[in-house]
Amino acid sequence: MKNTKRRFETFSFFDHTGISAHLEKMARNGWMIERITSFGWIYKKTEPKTVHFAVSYYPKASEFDPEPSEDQKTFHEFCAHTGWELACISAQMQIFYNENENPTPIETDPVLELDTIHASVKKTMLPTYLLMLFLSIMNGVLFVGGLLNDPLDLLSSPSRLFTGFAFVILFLLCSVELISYFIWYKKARLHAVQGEFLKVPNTSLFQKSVLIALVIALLYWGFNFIFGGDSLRRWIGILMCIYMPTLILIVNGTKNYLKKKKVSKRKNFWITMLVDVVFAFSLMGIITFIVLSASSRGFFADKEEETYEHGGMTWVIHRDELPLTMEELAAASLGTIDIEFVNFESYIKEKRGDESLLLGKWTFRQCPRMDVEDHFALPQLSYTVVHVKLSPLYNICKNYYLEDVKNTLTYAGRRYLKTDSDCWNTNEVYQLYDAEIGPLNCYLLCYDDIIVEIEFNWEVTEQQKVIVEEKLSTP
Amino acid sequence: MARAKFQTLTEQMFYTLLCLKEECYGMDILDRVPAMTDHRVNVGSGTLYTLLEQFSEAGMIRETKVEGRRRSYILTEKGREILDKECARISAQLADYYKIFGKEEF
Repeated sequence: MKNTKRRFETFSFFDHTGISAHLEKMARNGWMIERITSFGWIYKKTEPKTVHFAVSYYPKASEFDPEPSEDQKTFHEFCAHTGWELACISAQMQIFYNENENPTPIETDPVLELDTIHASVKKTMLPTYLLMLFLSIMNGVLFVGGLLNDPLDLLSSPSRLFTGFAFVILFLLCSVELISYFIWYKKARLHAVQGEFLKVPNTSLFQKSVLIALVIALLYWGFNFIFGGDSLRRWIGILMCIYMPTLILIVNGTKNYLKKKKVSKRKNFWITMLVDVVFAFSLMGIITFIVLSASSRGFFADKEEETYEHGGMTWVIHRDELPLTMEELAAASLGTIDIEFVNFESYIKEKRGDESLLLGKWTFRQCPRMDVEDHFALPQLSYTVVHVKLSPLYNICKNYYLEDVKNTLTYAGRRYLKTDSDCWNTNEVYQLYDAEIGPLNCYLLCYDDIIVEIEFNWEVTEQQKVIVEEKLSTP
Repeated sequence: MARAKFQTLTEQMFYTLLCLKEECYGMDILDRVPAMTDHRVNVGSGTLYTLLEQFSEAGMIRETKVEGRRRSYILTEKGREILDKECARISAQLADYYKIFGKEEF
């Protein structure tokens, strides 16, 4: 039977009443708190017993202290004098237990207790949470910027969605903690001058819920990134999954090693910060180097991948599966271009894109190899299929195409105009118009939950429009 | 700041200062206050630790002896003044009470 237990507790830093009550319950179940680490709270198996716990705050203490200072030890002795034995320390938080039936509390003056808690909060919790809040807001600004600039790329990318979600969670955690602290502090101050202690609000359930949501999102992202992509993406995913825990272990290990070596808290702080920055960048650099050099050696290339040389460059002959092919359209005649002269053997078929829970965006291209004569004169097909999985996003995606074309410099003077949808058999069809040339062979097709932007370099026939609808109107 | 803070004293502050009329180890105050007040007033160890620190900073007590981590303190003139002022305030309150209800009723 295990003699120790590790639990991830979600208490607010200032929730001394909640922590005490929880530790008393754990002790009644035969688990005494032994120490608090960055990787959970460690409990030791004991006989079930009824003991009192008290959390006191020592503002001068630091996470980087090699050991409690002499003054801090004096404070512990004061507490021991009234039966309060030190259970463990976590930075400013000092946890005591008392086996007496009705012990005198450690803090008997609510004003002084509140001052001590506030001083500790100002030293540790406040700067940390404000920094994290700032980072989450900055990321939020970038996320919203990305959403306005290219909502399709952002919403179809599990990685970018996960990053955005993680920062939303961070923002929620920090703001809820800070708001609940300041509301409690204000109320507790009013109670304290009346000589009363005010219980701290418990945000544990909220913290647990959002952290579980974050873990689920992380698993979804990790699974999708590692198992859902090509070899390169899989390896990047694996290396990133190793990167973060390694960095945390190195930084935490450095801090603990320096504490064991009795290095002063100031030195420990700066060395740990330096190690953090150096390893964060160097590990990322190593990963980038590994990925680039492995990629240049063809490590991530599919074994059956073929290439050809043209214009001093190596081109990959993609043979991806496309939902709509030139061959299928050729069967219904390629309009103004004579099918007899088209040799599809020399064509590449390329598929690119990503898919999230909200949106899938895939770009397909079928075009002749670069080394084929009259490359640009031959018929080519390219289309983007957007699968909108969340209906409120549909208009955002549609408007993105309609507005984006208007606003993009490349397409200056061009715009989509609504056209007859009968032949396409869609809800709506827009055709691209150039101010000088007139109508172009580029269409925006709006199906129920699919939006297709398709471009032909020939005049598309009625039969081909039917084939497009058959092949692309469903996910 | 400290002066404004100690313009009036709580019971725990009052008895802590009272104990320090004679030189006394900080930790002993934890036992003396309940003994002095027949257990009506108890000072928590954390509260006492903070009080001693604040009284020292405000010059109301001074450290007299350090033996390892045991430190003894004694009341200063300033501490005595504040204690006297508090005593006068409480006495005035008591006198006002007598004026209204009389000594006998009390």
